[in-house]
Parts: sequence; C-alpha cells; structure tokens
Amino acid sequence: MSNAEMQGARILRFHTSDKVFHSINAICWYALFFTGAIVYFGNMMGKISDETANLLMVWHIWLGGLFTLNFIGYVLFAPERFAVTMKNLLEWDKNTILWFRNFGGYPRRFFKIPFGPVEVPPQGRYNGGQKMSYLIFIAAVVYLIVTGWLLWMGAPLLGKTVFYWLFMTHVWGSFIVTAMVTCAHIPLALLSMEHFKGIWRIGSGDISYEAAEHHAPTWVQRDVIKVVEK
Amino acid sequence: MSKYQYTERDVPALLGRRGFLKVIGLCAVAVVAAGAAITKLITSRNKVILDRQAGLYADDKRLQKMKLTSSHENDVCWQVYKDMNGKPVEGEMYKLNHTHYTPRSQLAMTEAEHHV
Amino acid sequence: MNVVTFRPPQGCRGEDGPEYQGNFRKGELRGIIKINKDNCVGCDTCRKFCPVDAITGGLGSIHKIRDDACVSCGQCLSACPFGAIEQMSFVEDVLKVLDDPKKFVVAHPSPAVRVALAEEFGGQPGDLCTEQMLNAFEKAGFTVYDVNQTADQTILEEGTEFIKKVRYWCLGERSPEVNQMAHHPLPHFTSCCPGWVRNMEINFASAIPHVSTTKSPVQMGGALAKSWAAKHIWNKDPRDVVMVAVTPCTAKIYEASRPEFVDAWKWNVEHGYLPKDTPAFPDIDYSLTTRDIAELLRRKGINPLTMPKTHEVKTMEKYTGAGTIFGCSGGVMEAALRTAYAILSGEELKDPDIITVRGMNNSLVEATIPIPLKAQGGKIFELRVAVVNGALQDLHKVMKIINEDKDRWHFIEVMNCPGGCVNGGGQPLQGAGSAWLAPTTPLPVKL
Repeated sequence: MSNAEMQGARILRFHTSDKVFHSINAICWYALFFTGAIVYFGNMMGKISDETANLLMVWHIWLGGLFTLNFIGYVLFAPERFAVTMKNLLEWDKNTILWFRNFGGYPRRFFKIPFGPVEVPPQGRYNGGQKMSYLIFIAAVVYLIVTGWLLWMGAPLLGKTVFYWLFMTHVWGSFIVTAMVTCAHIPLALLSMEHFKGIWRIGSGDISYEAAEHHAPTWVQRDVIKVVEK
Repeated sequence: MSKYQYTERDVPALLGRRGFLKVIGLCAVAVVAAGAAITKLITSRNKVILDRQAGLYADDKRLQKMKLTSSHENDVCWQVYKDMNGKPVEGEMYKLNHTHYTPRSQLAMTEAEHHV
Repeated sequence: MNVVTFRPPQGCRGEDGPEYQGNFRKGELRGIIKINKDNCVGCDTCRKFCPVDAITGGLGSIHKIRDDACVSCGQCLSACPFGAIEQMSFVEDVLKVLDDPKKFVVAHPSPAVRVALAEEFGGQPGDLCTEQMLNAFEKAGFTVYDVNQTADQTILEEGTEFIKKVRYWCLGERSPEVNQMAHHPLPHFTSCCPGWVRNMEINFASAIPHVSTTKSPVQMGGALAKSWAAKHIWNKDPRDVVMVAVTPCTAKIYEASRPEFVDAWKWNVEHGYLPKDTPAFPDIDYSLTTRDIAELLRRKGINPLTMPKTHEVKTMEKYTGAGTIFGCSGGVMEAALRTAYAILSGEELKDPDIITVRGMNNSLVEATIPIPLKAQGGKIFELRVAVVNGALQDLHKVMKIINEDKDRWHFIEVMNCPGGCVNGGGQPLQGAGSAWLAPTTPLPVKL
C-alpha cells in the first residue's frame, strides 16, 4: 500500500492475548526477582529472618505458579500469536545481521560512541537486537519455569550435583536477564511512547503509522494490510 | 468502530504449512530431548548404591568358592566361645554381646531403661 | 567432593550437664551433624531426605537440625547440594593415639568401607579393595579386627536368639533354653543399625521388646576385642587397646558413645583381670567414617590404591560371605537366614544366594522362606520376612502394619540408609547424592 494514504492511520500491533501475556509476565517477573533476590542475598549476608525468608519464598512459589500458567496459557489459547512471534524472532535476514554493525545506532545516540555506520538498515517487526534479546527472554522464561519447579519439588529425584547447577543457573540466570530487561529492554521501549502505550494501555493495542514506519518499515511494507470491514 | 485501520496479515498466510511443521518439529525435539535426559537421570539415580552393593556380593561369591558361605562356617567365631567357655546368648556371652534399649520421649527422662 | 568436619566441641557429651538433656543421656555425643548457617541457602533438600523429620525450616529459611529428633544418620549431609552440613570428626584423636607407642591401636573396618574407600582416591563406587585397605591400615600403624568377622559373630548370636524366639513363639516349645524369650515376642527386628535403634527408642519405643538384644557387629567387636582378643589373641592389657571403628556411618559415632557400652571393662573387673577401681573405658574408643579414614591416610601420605593387592589373611580378619554382605540392604537378613536355615533344617541351603530378600533399590522387600524343620520330621515352616530399605520411605508403613497385624512377618531387617550401609552418611560423597529408591511413582514429592 502507498505510504501516503497511511499517514495518520493506526495499526494493530499488539493483540489482546499478547498484551495480557506480556503484562502478567512482566509484573510476575519483577515480583519473582525481588522475592528471590531478597532471600538469596539476605541468607548470604545473614540479614533476613527465617520467617521473612520463608514467607517470601511462599510468595515466590505462588508467583511462579502464576508465571507458569501465564506462559502455558499464552501458548495454548493464543497459539497463532505465539507462532507468529516465534516466526518473526527466528527468521533473520541480511538486514537483521547488519543491525549489529552499529547496534541500531544506539551507542552513538545514547553514549556518543561512534560505533559503526550512521545508517540503520530497514528492520522488520523486530530489529536485530530485539530478535536476539527476545529469544533470550523467552528461553529464560521457559528455563526458569522448568528449573523452578524442579528446585521446589524435584530434590529427591535429581541428585545433588544436578540440583546445585539448576539452582545456580536459576538464580544467576535470572539476575543476568533481569539486568538486560532493566538496563536495555525497558529504556529502549520508552523511546517510543506509541509502542509503550500500545502494549500497556487497557484497550486496543494499536500504534501510529509513523511509529511503525520509523521502527519497522519492512514490517509495514510486507505484513501490514488494511482491515477489511465486514 | 475500530481504533485501527491496519493490522498484520493472518497467521496461516504468515506461517504457512512449512513454518508450522518447523515449529512443531522443534518443540517435539525439545520435549523428547528433555524427556530422555530426565529419564536417564532418574534411572541412574541408584547406580552408586547398586555398584557398591555389587562389590560386596562379588566378595560374597569369592568367599563362597572358598567354602566360607555362612557365618557358622567361620571357625574363629566358634573359637571365641571355646576360649571364653561360653555359648551364644547365654551367661558371660550375653553380657558381652547383648545390650538393652532406652525408651526416649521428648519429655525429660529419668531412670527409664528397659532390662530383660 | 569434600565434607567439612569439626572437632568435638566442649560439652558435646553433656559431660558437665545433668543425667538427661533432652533425650540424650550423659556421655552420649550430640550435635554430631550440624548445618552451617553461613552456607545454607534454604533450598530445603536436606529436610526431604531426613527419615525422622529432624530438620526445621521452610523453603528459604536457614535450616536447623533438632538434636533431640536427630539420629545422626548423615543422610542430610550426603544430600546437601551446597556442602553446608558438617560432621564431627575424631581424626586428630586417632592420629595422636597412633603416635603413642604405649597404645595398641586396632582398626575395626565395616563391610561397606571396602567397596567405597577407593572412591576417595580416584576409584569407582564398588571397587573392592579389601587387601589394599588392610595393607594401608597396617602401614598407618593399625592392627586390624575386621567387622566382617564380628558380623559373622553377630549372626551366631542373633541367629541363636531368633531361633529361640521361633521355638518359643511359633513351635510352642517351653524349656529353660527358650523360656527367656517369653518377654521378647515376634516380630523380631534387627538391631545393628544405630540410626534405626535411636529412631526406634524415640518414635517406636513400644517395639523395644521386639528388637534383637544382639549388639551391632561394631559394638560386639569392641567388647570382644578388649576381653577375648586382648587375652587370647593379642596378649595385651585391655586398657592399652584403642578400638577405632571405621564405618560408612555417622550414627556409629553416636553409638560408640552410648554409656552402656563399657562391657569389656565390666567383664575384666568382674573376672579380676583389672583392679576394681579401674576407671571405666568404652568398648569402642573412636568411630571414623570412610571419609575420615581416607583423610587420615592422606595425612600420613598413604594411598591405599598404591598398596599391594595381596594380603595374608590373619586370624582377626577371617570372614565369610555372610559377613561381608551386611553392608547391603537385606544382607543381615540373608546372612541370618543362611545360618537359621542350617540350624532349623539340619542342612545347608541349596542356593545360598537368597535373592528374594535383597533390598537392592527397592524401598520395601517382603519374602517367604520355606524351612523344613528337622525337629518336626521335615515339616515346612513358612518364615515370613521383611526388609525395610531406608527408613525414610517405608518404615512408617511397616510399623503401622505390624500394629494391626503382628503375624504378618516373623523377622524384619531395618536399615536407616537407602540401599543399606553402602549408602551410609559416612561414605564418600557422590554427585548422585543420597538416593530415593523405587517406587518413584507416586512422585517422591515432599513439599
């Protein structure tokens, strides 16, 4: 379609299932992070009481349950959205790779580091950095869910060496990904209020044509179609 | 009244049969691999125990070949009774080889021992 | 994998306290197993392996062992993924006594040590290294009195005891020989596992009349060493004999400290071999675990796996197959049956390998052994036995059953540790840790 006629229009980027999944996932993630980290470091420094530690872990498990059901629910009840997301994240073209030549121009933009060329090649629905980090985030979600349940219930079956490594990767893996989310994903998301409001607002998940064209021109060109009124 | 005028193309068009099969295939591989790893882990949980037991049963077979199968074939044990002029479970042998037990509850105990 | 040990602290035997402290008598070692609160992350694994629910603390909390409930079995220590649980160790004391030329130090090694010691020096679980182990002990300055032999001795005692019970309770015999069993009804329980014994004293004290009065092989060895052996074999003053048990077990450390185990001293004083005012000495002076003895050997620069593989069997090292299988779950039962069958039927078992009573990796094993009774012209007596393989999974079930049906079994072997002593709390640590045995369904989930 011609860009001219799309000026001022709105594009549905985030379906309701995406928004429900993302919001619950995000809130649970940070609640899980805080309950877990406070207990882990509290015990390490001997600064937390047994009652508090146990209470926080009880919350951690309930939150883990919600976190798990949220992910399973998304896959089971919105498989088409999950599939489209995975397809978009797993298909890497030349432009995706070229994004990494200058990291989307962000080093230059935020830190004045003249890394790579100035131009950013046109990206699809997700740019190179998003594809890489979202794949990591989804892998982390699955890994934390699986290891979380095994750590809570599986000690008699697993043996202590396996348990030890599950524990360490669960704890430190979550810290590393939380750092990525806090220091990269969220600040970058805030760069486009259209996207940010689109995914978080209670209501329709649409964004402006201008925001879509700026961030994901190839997506607009290949995958976006006019809504057919019935 | 729609809030938006444009949307993404439908999933079947985007994913296609090949794409769908690719995803299902990858998930199946992941599930089978995880299942195999966990099954292997669980079935080998007792390997250390069984191996150590096997070592002792091998020691047993070695001794059976030397006609030392049962405890009553150990002449040194019978020598003890001869030297000490005693019999199993009786008299002096009872005093040396037998014991009694102490019932313990979570309450403080005094003089609560069971004797024969 | 290493285990942190600690020296026995002041007051660990309640020496300055009252006759009873909690449910410990004065003299008994307490706090043998300790959770180091600085290293505990609250993962809750230990609590799931404790057979007596002696660990307090929920998920996330620093866990603590309740000494009054603890039987010192060390399963929690074996299971802890973070090495946060520590063991009281007497290695220093034994090293000191080995250097004392006046002392005659005797190593008393259990069956299970010889199939695990190699692991501490790069070998595999199950590597049978008896000869090298004995040579290593001798090089370190020990004389050896093999527990495998006192295991045989235990069978002679317990076999006789059990048969007297069968004659009294099942065959209706009344005679001076068997009337002492009037106060010891069936079912008969084994008594060689100190973890089981303390568990029983605390939680199933009503079973006391049923439990065999026969001592464990280690304790029997201690008493015989300082009476029979000191006099007839070694020609030593029993006060100079230092008995060092070497076992796969941390509960043995507790067992050796039980105040009643001074029977050799009593025997010597009663017979006039020692003056009446001789201070009491224990039958077993120290109990070291397999890990402890490996540490001792290391400190002396001795690697058992480099010692010669041949060893001339001495009098005090002679044992039978029945003795060596004590380290396996079902081993005591099988050993007892080989002898009980021979005594009751007048003939040896055609096949001495009684596979049906071997615990292997099943948490509960039941079997019926038909025994033709010589005294009744070959009439078959169906001996019903049970083997509790690990107190955690099925001990409660078995105790509940016999509350309701005392005739279900005649003879029950109970081992605290899953798999038997080979998987004791004092064995070299392996990554697979302390194991959950079959059945694995329903899932062994302890929340």
